[in-house]
Amino acid sequence: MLVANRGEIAVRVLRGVREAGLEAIAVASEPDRYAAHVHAADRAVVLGEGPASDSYLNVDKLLAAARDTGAEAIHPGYGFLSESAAFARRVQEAGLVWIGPAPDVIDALGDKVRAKATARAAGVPVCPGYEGDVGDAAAVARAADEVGYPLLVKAAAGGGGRGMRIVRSARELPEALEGAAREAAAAFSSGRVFLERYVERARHVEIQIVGDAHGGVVHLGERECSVQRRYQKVVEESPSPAVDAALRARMGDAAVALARAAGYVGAGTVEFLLGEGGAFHFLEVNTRLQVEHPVTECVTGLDLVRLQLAVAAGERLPFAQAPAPRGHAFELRVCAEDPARNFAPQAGRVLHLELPQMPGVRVDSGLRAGYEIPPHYDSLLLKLIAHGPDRETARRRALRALDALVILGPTTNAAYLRAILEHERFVAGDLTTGFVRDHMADFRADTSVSDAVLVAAAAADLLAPESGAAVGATSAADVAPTPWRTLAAWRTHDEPGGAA
Amino acid sequence: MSRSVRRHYEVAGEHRAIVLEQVGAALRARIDGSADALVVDAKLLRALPSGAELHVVPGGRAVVVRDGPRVHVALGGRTYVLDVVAARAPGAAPAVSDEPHATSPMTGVVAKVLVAPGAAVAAGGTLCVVEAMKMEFAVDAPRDVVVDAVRCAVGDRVDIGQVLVTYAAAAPEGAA
Repeated sequence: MLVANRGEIAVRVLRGVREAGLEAIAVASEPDRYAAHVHAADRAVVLGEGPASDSYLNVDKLLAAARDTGAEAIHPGYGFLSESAAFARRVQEAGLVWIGPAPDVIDALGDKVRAKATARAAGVPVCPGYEGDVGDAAAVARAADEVGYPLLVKAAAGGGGRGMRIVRSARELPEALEGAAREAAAAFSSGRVFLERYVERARHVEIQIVGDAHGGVVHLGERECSVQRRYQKVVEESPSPAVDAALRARMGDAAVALARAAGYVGAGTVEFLLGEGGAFHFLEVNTRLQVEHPVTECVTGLDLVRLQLAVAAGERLPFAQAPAPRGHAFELRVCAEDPARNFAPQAGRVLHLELPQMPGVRVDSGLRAGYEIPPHYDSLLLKLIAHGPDRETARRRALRALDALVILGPTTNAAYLRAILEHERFVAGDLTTGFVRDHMADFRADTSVSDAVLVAAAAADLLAPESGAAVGATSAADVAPTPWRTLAAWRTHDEPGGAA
Repeated sequence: MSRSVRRHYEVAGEHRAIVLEQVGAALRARIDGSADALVVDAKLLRALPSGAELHVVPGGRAVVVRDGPRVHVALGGRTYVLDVVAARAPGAAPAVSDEPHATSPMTGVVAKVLVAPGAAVAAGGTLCVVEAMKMEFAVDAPRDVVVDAVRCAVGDRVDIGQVLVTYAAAAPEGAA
């Protein structure tokens, strides 16, 4: 099994692959040569230079790596090529097993307009909107009036907020249509856009589904992902504080109906907006493993990667109904971003790393001490996942895990995550997708420096002086002999055929 | 026996100074030129390859790692970056960059260029925007400048430290 990804998800999938008794093959770019995921694998192939187009997005190189290592299957992780039907087709044409739904299913569900039509046909509630031609200004203005303001202009091929505009009045519509189409054409090579009613006070609640090749489809409950910053999820949890057993059954049935209608085989996620009073409507389908899948694993006791491998091997799902959630779980996305500098991404070397080890805490990490974080990729470093018998216990465990996490070198968003977890609305479970905008906009990272910090820094020099550097003198040119610089003899299994 | 270290740091935009003195078993700290010495305690838990793990009172467990002229400290669930600097009078203004050009803060792609040659930009004004890891980072003028040349274009891949914009020679004193 070749895992066509990097970072924490590659580590997690590679470990799952090894646990299943399969040989795990990693791929890496040059700057990732010593990354954690390379060491989580039996073997690794270096694809090329840092930019993703030369490495993790390079289909020819990935397929060559699979061929050279004798891989029989490819797991795409999330991001990169995980939702590329074209890549899935190339994998299958090369005679390899694709861990994910069929390419035609990815195509059908990846296009938001087609996915909406499938959902509607399957009886799944969808948001009122307009999916017709937006070239006719008069017609689209009439349609917009019917949908009602505020509304969203969305890209059919979109994701992550790209090619999306909030429109509050008819006057703003023409410019939003043009801007969204331009952005979508640049990002997704399709400028097709559609209109959808904008629900302002709603929760983002998604249902995990798994389908097998024998027509079996089950849902594994929901995840609440309302805490988003710029359309990027920050903190997720399961179960949702707003979903009871009856609503879970209704939303789960809707997700299963859609998956059945699409002929879905594999693990996937059906995203909904959940309004007050339990009304929900379909948003989109993610045809892959989600970043936040561990919270579902915590509360169901299932291993989603193992299930992906099983259904890809043609096995039947081992259960017909989702187990009821057991306890509560949170996931915190720890990213190399500086909240004090407008969340600017941080690259650089990890000088010191301590990961929390405590009851109910799982860490999915792509980091190791000495690792140089490359500037080419997503800023997600690791995920802290806290599980407990109830929401408050899990929340306190998440805070303790944050306290115990030490990453020296790149600045992270840890202070921001703590502020979210401690916010009274968050504590109350009172969340909407406006949470960050409404309650975190005035977050300021605490930049005060206590005397103790100065004492610690100076005491290190007094009590453990750098060899060669006299106490009382510090040279700016001194370069510390870190283990990273002394590890020249290290070798990774980067050659095809390298030893395990 | 008495040993001491005297350190000046640039941290969180401020100049801080400490003199830490070991007298017998006791540690005394004088911070930011204060005449009063604080009695503190710091025990070495273990030396790290390039730093130390300490127990500091007050404070708790601290991890200190040196990286060239930079010191990273983890204490009380937070992390701090201190730059070791030369001595300077407390309260003096931090040094403003006098580089004749603006450089890219990271490896990335130029997303926006907001200035043209000849443009006068006030301190803090944005010159261009570099995108990396799906995020944008503004490159601002460190002082009042006049743009001489723009050495990048939207879509260019740039390396960390690469010159993006050069400034014209300093305007005469008093000129806007």
